[in-house]
Amino acid sequence: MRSLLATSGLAATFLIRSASAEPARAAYLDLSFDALMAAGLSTADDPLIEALERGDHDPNRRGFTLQNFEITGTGAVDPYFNGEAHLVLKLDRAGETAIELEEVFLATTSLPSGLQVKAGQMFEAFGRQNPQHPHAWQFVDQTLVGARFLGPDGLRSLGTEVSWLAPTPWYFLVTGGVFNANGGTTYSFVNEEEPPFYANVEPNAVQGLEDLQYLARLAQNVDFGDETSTTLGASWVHGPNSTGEGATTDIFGADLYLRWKPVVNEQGWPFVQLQGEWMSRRYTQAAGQDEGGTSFTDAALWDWGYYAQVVWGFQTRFTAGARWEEAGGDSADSAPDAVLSARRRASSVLTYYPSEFSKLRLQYNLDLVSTLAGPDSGTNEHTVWLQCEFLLGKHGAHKF
Amino acid sequence: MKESVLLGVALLAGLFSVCLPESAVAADRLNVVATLPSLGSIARAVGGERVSVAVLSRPGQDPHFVDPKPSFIVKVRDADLFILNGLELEVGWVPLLLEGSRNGKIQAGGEGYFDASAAISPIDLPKGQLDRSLGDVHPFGNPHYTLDPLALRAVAEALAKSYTRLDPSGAEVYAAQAKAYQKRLDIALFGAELVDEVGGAKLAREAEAGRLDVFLTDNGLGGKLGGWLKKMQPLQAKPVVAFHTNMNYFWRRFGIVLLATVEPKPGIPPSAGHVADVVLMMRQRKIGAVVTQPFYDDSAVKLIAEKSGAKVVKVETEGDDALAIIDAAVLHVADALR
Repeated sequence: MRSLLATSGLAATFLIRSASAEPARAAYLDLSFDALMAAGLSTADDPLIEALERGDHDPNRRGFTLQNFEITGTGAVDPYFNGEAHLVLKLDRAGETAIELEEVFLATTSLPSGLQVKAGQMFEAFGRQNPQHPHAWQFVDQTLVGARFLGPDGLRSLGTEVSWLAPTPWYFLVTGGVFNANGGTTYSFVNEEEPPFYANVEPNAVQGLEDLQYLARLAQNVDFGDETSTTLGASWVHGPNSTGEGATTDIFGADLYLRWKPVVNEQGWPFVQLQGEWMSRRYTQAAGQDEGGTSFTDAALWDWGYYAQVVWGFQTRFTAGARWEEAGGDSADSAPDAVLSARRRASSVLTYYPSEFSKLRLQYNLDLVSTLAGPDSGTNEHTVWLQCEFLLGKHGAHKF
Repeated sequence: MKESVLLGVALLAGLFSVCLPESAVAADRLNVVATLPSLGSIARAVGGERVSVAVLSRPGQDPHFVDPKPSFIVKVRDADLFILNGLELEVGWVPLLLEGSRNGKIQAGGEGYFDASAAISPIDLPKGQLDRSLGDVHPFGNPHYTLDPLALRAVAEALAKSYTRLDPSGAEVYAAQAKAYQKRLDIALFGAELVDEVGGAKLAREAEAGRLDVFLTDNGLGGKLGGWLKKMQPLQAKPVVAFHTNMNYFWRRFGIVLLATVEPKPGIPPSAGHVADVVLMMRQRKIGAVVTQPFYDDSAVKLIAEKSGAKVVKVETEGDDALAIIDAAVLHVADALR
């Protein structure tokens, strides 16, 4: 029996260091850095790439793009609130550093009855991909429909969101929000910087409730056994737009997310996820003139778009994916330019994750631009992007 | 404007016309949610009829990598007590569940938050500078203690106290059920005869302090040792190789020496060079077994076994009965290393 003691002692000195009590650890602020960089080759020239890749953090030129360098701080403010801030830096085409305050908000942690209130600058809870930061996307670039309706930077604004986790036996989340309707990050609303059509009203003039933007979302999730989980969502956002007094925009969205993963998996692999979003935008246009002097009459433009994608984690640390997207509608027919033209795009992607903190991604885009206005009409464009990411600091849990 | 609002409402209502299934939660019991099946089994044993236990991860699932599914959020939303393994084992999924649940009772620091690792003494605490070039090192110690019967013993006792805080009228029941569970553990570990003669608490204290064999020899009790310790006695000081560091508490408890892991660093897949080193060492030291879990890729392990002549032993680390899982691990390892 002596040997039990002796070998336990040996093991203890050889491999194991034991401690009697765990010390307290401070976690007042969790700070992390995330960098997304890309390099690309394309049959399209740079101006056309900019029209094809509409997302503000998409790779947008032949050669190298620093898409997104995100500094994130999160923590518990006190027993009542969590705080979160995301500061994003990027290099523009001239090599100048641009900074944006992507998100900064408080979220309550101790309200009763399944309620949570968020207040501040935030990605609005519209659909599935809009609230995700670019490094959480499964493709290098933003979706066509997302950039077109929700905007190149996503639908982000200053305001407040209330969500309620209903006391149902399955997951059912109801969200409502009120936001400022103006600025470049409320793209389809009061946006004089780079509006989808033209700007004819003074921003910042909130004279009544009709000058704010309103959001509603319902999301529910149902599991099919232990291995398959499905989330279904519907979103709606309403607010004034910049074409004139009384002109409004509504965006409707429906989203589906399905994930299959076996219970016995190796570090999260294999898995299959299907994701799709359909959106429709009703943009009422007040009579007026754009900068070029073109006159517009009163009109209601219905536009639509969708994407459907599948990602297959086929082998530990590797995923392959495919995405099909379309966008079109009244505005594509009435005022076609490279930005508003009907679009169709097919993409395929292969991603390698050396660890949870880095990734390498190769993506091929086939832009079917036969309907694109201008001199580039009629040719298809081929683009290859190579993206890499690294993450430093606390690794936040991944949202499902 | 009006028609668009109506259209919106109709769209949303149409998409969500799902009928209400019945609620599964019994009102008069404590609602307990445990992250791991083994912790769930302790929760059931100590809570008995007064608790209703839901378990999030599944037996056979790698507890590091569990999806924070919305259906889990619903379970955590209704919990009076949330039991987690702690030591950052569930750092990739539990924070999202707690935050998403909007349940104030079970947030960290609350009465309904039970971090089971607070009851144990963590091992493998890293020293010096820590960064991610070292792999997935758990900074607060090795979190895989559920294969250590004495760790579970301590968890059962702490859990009875937590139950009592939430449900004071059950104090005696919880204390008695924790004692009964501990006795089962003690008998399984030390054997019934020794437990009857000395008492489980005393034996557990001596074993935790590393003085068990001295104590037994001094008191002439060596012949009365039974249970898992008796079964593992012939394996004292035997060297073993494992895929990951998730059985270190088990090796320590039974005096087995882990000489190397197939992973060069925790969570980092084996390279060809490292595999060759491990094979060489296993041949030199005549190591008879390489131990892994069913959820790990076994290509490197199989290669090592083939080249070194060792056996591959697949040991489950989680299951709906913590005692049965330890029992199976003892059986498999004893069989392979004999």
